[in-house]
Amino acid sequence: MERGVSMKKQVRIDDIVSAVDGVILFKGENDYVRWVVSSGLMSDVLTTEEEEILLLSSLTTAQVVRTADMVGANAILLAYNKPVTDDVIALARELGITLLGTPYPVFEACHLLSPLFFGD
Amino acid sequence: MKVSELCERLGASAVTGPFDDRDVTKVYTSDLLSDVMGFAEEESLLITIQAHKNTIAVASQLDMPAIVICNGRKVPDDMRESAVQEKITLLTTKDSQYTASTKVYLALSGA
Amino acid sequence: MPNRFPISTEAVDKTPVATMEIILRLKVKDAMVTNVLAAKKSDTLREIQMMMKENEISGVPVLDENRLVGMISVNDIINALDRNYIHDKAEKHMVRNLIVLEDDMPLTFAVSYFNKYTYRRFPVINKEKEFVGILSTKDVLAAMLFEMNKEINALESRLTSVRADMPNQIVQEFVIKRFDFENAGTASFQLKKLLKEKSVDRKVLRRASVAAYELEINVAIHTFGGTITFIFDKDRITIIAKDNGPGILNVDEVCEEGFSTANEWIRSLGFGAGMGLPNTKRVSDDFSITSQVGVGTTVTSVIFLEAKDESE
Repeated sequence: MERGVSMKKQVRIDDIVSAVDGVILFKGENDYVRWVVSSGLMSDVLTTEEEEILLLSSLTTAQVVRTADMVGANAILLAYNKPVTDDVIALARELGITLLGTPYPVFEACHLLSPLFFGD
Repeated sequence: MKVSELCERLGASAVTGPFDDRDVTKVYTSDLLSDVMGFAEEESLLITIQAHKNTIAVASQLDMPAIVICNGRKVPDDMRESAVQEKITLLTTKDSQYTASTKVYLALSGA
Repeated sequence: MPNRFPISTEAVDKTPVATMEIILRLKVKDAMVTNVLAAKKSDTLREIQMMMKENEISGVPVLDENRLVGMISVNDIINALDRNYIHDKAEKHMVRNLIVLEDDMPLTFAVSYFNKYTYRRFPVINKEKEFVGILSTKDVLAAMLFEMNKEINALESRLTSVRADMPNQIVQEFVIKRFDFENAGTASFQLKKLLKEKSVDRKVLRRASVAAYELEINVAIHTFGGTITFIFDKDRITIIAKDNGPGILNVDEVCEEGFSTANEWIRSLGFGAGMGLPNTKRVSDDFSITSQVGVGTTVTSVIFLEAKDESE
């Protein structure tokens, strides 16, 4: 089921927001992503070779935003509707990365997103 | 779905166990142990890459039927020993947390 | 009710960035007051009232030998005067259910306690459960002001130099502070910006960013602090992370996947997976690490600008 590291299709961020009952905390430069990486560990995120991803995380620190930027993520989806501090939003704005929130835990968010990425 | 069946569906390998081939009905995906402790329901299946001995302690406390270690992460010896001691089933898969979560969901929802 | 997260960020969320860095660095023992007047449990409340008056303090810990057994505050004295039991012994009326701090706790924990509870001061105990001091909000402020002065001086040493040892060479150096999570990554970000300006190949840029970031984070999490230097040459990018200790006994071990010396607190922030150096090695064209225990470690990563032949 794991596809190769080639150009995957674009999935619109608006569709993602709908799928996970999400909110847009900051709208960045890009309006699409190509794949999802779900991880709470920074080093793990950095090993991904996927491009233009959606980073799904339950951690809401500035480091998540920086790590996402380092791997060229297009958007970050924060699980559990955890409160996000102003400095994190400001950082997302500075780096131009879309910041989204969802009330669902990570596992639920994963499968709510799957029709968008696995379906054809 | 039983742990052993889930293991097959995922194409995963069992590093330890399955000990008590229980039914999996709930799942929690997280790499942060503090997060698992705070929010995971008891008896959930844990999907994570946190291949560390502490993960066993957390899984044991929450009476989890099994842990799925993703991204092909190697299970260190002390973690494996601890899992055997606590009778926690450890499954490993090459899939990422995202893919594994999706697969488990599909398996549990009868797809 | 499930456990909370080990770090409650409620209190520190509203504080400015620089202040939070400093709080993260400090421990309770750095801020607490140690020569604290204490009472014995056999002292009367009147005696304690006099103690408070003469020394202009508003709270007194009550000890049994070295162990903390209770606290008496001005409120307790007022009640005693009002209800006429000012001559009673302290142990009869002292507050027993105390929230205490441990001297080794990071100051952030203490700050979150202030936020959670309405008490303004907390007694501090050491690992042996002996009473060692008191921490109140004013002590937190005093410690921070002191650190901030030091910080301002140190900030001046955060330098960016453009040297040309050879034409077309750009050198940038950044200071990395221990546990400086707010700023960890800013140096790598500068490198990324530079490489983007220079229109470096996308894949090379990403590898360099990952290497720089992992090394920068490592210095922040695992060392006493250090520097990271980027050298941009015609054909390569060199990243050198140098720290002031503690040094690594076995460098092969730290390059193994999964090996980490991080504690729970670090892991709860998403670090310490033991992948930092292996990740760096993997994306580098050339990688070396040297270390001396008690002195420090230097990690060098080289990435060639000419992208290696990679199949899509």
